[in-house]
Formats: sequence, C-alpha cells, structure tokens
Amino acid sequence: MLAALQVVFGNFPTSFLKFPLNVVLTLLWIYVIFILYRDYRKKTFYGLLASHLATKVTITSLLLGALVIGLFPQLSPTEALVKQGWLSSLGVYNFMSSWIFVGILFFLLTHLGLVTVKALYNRKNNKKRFLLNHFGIWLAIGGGFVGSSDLQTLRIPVFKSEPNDVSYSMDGEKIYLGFEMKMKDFEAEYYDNGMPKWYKAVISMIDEDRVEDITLRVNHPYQKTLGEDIYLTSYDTANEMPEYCIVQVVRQPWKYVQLAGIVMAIAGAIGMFVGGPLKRKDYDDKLG
Amino acid sequence: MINWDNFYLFAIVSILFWTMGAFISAIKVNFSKNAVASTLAGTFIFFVFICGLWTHIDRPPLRTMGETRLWYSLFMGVSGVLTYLRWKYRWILSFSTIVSSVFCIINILKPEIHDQSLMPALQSIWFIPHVTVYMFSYSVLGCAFILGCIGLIRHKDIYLVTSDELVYTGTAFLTLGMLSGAIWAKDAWGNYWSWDPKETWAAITWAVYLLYIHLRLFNAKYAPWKLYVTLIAGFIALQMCWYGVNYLPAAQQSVHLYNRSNG
Repeated sequence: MLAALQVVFGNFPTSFLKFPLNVVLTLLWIYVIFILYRDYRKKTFYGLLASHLATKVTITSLLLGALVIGLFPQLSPTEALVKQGWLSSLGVYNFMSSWIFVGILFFLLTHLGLVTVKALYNRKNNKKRFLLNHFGIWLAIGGGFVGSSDLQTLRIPVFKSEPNDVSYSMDGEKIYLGFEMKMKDFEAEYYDNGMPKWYKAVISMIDEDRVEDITLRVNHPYQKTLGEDIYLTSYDTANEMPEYCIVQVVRQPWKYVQLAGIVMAIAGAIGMFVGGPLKRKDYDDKLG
Repeated sequence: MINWDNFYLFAIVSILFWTMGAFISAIKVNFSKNAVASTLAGTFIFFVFICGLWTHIDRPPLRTMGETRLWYSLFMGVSGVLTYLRWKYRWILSFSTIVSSVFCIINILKPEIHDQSLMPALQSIWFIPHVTVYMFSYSVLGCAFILGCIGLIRHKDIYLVTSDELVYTGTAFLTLGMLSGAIWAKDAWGNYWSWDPKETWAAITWAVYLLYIHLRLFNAKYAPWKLYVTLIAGFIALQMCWYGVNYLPAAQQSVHLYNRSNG
C-alpha cells in the first residue's frame, strides 16, 4: 500500500505537516496509543501491534529501510525526480522522505509508544532502564520525525562589503531571513599543508535597529532564538583576506524533544552496560 | 621519542606478550592469572605507544584509519581480558591476540599515516569520547563475532550466554557512540542526524544488534544458528560503518571521510 502511494504521489508531502498541524496530529497519535492500551488491550489487533512479532518486524523494517539508504546513493529531491525506472518510482534515491520509509518509522514509533505505555503500567523488572531506552529512543526518533516538517536549513553568503538577508534553502529556494548579517572580521590559521587549523568570523547581526556582533567558529554555533542556531560553514578561499563567509541558519524548534530523548537513551545505555542482560529466570516475570 | 617509526618495536613486544597470554590460557584448563598478567603487560606497552604518539603529534591519534586501528588493537586486548576474567572462556585470548596482531601488522605494512593536521570539525570535546567509545564497542562486538563463528560450527549454550553479555556491553557503547555523535553533529553541522552514509551504516549495525537482543529475550529456545548468523551480520555491518563506507560508491559525498582533505 505504501509502495502504491509512493508510485502514485511521489515522496511523502513533509511540508504539509508544518506547525501547528504536526503538534495536533502528534497529540492525537499519543492519545490513540493511550486509548488503545486503556480500552482495547484485550483485543487481537492491540495484541498484534504490541506483540513480540511486531518488535521483530519493526526492527527488521528499520534495518531494511536503512540498508536501502546505505546502498543507494541518496540524492536531493530535485535530482531524485529526474531519475527513471521502477527503483526511482519506489523512491529509493531519496528514501528518507519516501512513503515506505515514513511508514516504517510510523509503525516503529507506534509500536515503541505502545510498549512504553504497557511497561509504564505493567512492568516490574528493570522498569527504569526499559523506559529510559524505549521512551528515550521514541523521543529522539519521534522528535526528528514530526519535527522534520518544521526544520529549515538555510545557507547565506555573508559579505564584508554589505549586509545580506537573502538565504537559500537546501532545495535552492530563496528565503528572506528577517534580519541582516555582515562580516566584520575574519581570522584563520593554517597548517603547513594549507589545511585550515581553525577559522572564525565576527558577524554583525542587524535586526531592525539593534546591532549585535557575534563570533562564529566551527563546532561553536550561536543560538539566536530558542529554536534557531547560526553556524559558520565555509568561507571565501580565493582571497587571502576572505570577502565573504558562508553561514548556515538552522531553524529546528523540536531539537529539545530530540535532546531530551538522547539524554534519556544515554542513561538507558549506561544502565544496559551496568546491568547487563537479564538472567534467564527473570524472563517470565519480565515479559509478563 | 615515540612515533610511527618505532611502532614496530612496541607492536612486536606487545604481540609477544599477548601471544604468551593466549598460549598460557589455552593450555590451562583452569583460569590462569599469568595469562591475564601477560596480556595486560602487552596492552600496557601498546598503551604507552599510543600516549607517546599522542604527545609526538600533538593531537589525539584518533583521526586516520591507522590511528583508529591502534585503539582497536588496544581495546581488543582489554575486552579479551575482560571476557576471560568474567567467563573464563579460555580460547578468547587466542582470538583477541590474532585480531590485535592482524591490525598491528596492517599498521606496519600500510600505515596510512597522514599529516599532523586535525580539521576544524574534529576539534571538539566530543572527539575523544565519541571515537574511543566506538572503538571499545567494536572490540567487544568483535569478541561476540568470534563466538558467533565458533558457535556456528559447534554450538554450546555458554557461547550464547557469553554473547549476550558481550552484545549488551557492545550495544550499550555503540549507542553511546551514536548518541554522543548526534549531539556533536548538532554543534558541528546543525542536525542531530542526517542519514549520512556513515550514520546510516551505524543505524544498520545498531538495528542488527537490537534484533539479536530482542530475539534472545523473546524466545530462550530460538535456533542458535540464526542467532550466530545475526552476530556475524552485525559485525559485517560494523565493518561497513567503520571503513567500508569509504569504498562505497553511494558514500562519496559523506561528511565523515576524514582521510581526505575535504575539510
């Protein structure tokens, strides 16, 4: 069915699910997961969705989906559209946004949600570790999944000579930032082989009447607002004193959800190392 | 002065100690302290080389393939001893010695020692924990792979019980490696995860080991050969993740290829 959707409609319409629709749908999704547990946990379809079989199928699907991404060169959406053939119509060249892969993640997240809720009420052994791992992964993947439609990665050349506010999205779409940037200063140090050792740029950010100077370095982004980070990605290598640098603006309001999940899963992984596998005799209670 | 020019001296002495440890543990039916001491001595000498190299090149030796192989040899010694201490499995030191030695020999024959430079993206507090955690995980999962191969030929219950322990430790560290990498990637490139080829193969590896863990949890009587095949598949995926992607046509745009000057 997902394959048919892919063939007929092309890639999953991510942009359609922008804020606030994604928030509404996510809340609804979580609500349905709780209702399924509360009112339908004796029904066959709930049993199937939360079963061991479903765990095996979801992990295997994730594995196969990731294999497609790992084995086929992944192209930009526009490049992928030009590709011909049945593989292309199944979306393998831009598989992350294909209906099939979105379906796999949806199934995986639904299953993770169901087992998390089930463990929340039922589990006795290793409950904390189980929840940290499963709920943590749920948040980390889920935040990326539902947040992907709100994610904007923009690149903008910032010149020494004049302020600029015209950035470009990854698809080449022109987007006005709503503030201007100008390169005030640039410094770099090089290794003997010409490779940069480090480089940094001082950027004047002009937001209406307010002017603020910020210093950008690789690995040290500047947080402009809660969901907006600014990165130095590249610079003019043709001139000894660069005339411009390339700045990346990432708008990702969902990053906190993902980070919370990552931190939980880190704690879960530590628990996994410290606690090790469950002993055989615990199995029956644990899986109850 | 410790540098790549005298690596072979350290490697030979370490390999001798490791081999002695492996030999002692293999001929003794009971647990042998001497085997542990000998292996640890070899590992310590190897560690001295890594520290010396670190000082010499003035940056952590974690970037080139040759450098990551050093850590792999080191951690193979460590995880071999840990496996031996914990489960008294007397052949494990032989296998860890073989794997460590192979990596040393590759480093002597094909060192891939590049310049001393460290590109800006790698200059981060995450660099050392991210790579060492991964290398430790690889070595532990390497031990699980060895058991998988042996078990496939002749199954014993103890192999699977030991593999469980190794896979839990290995997967825990693999997860820590991936998640620390995600936090770092957010600072360096702007996103936690971008399905870059190296990340994708890390996810594949992770999924295979998760599958193993869940198969074992759900069914104590699950056909052992299927579990051994899963362990072997996980290790193959891991090799793809570690260095296989460098040769994959699909991965030539990867941001993770640090052995080129595409900084």
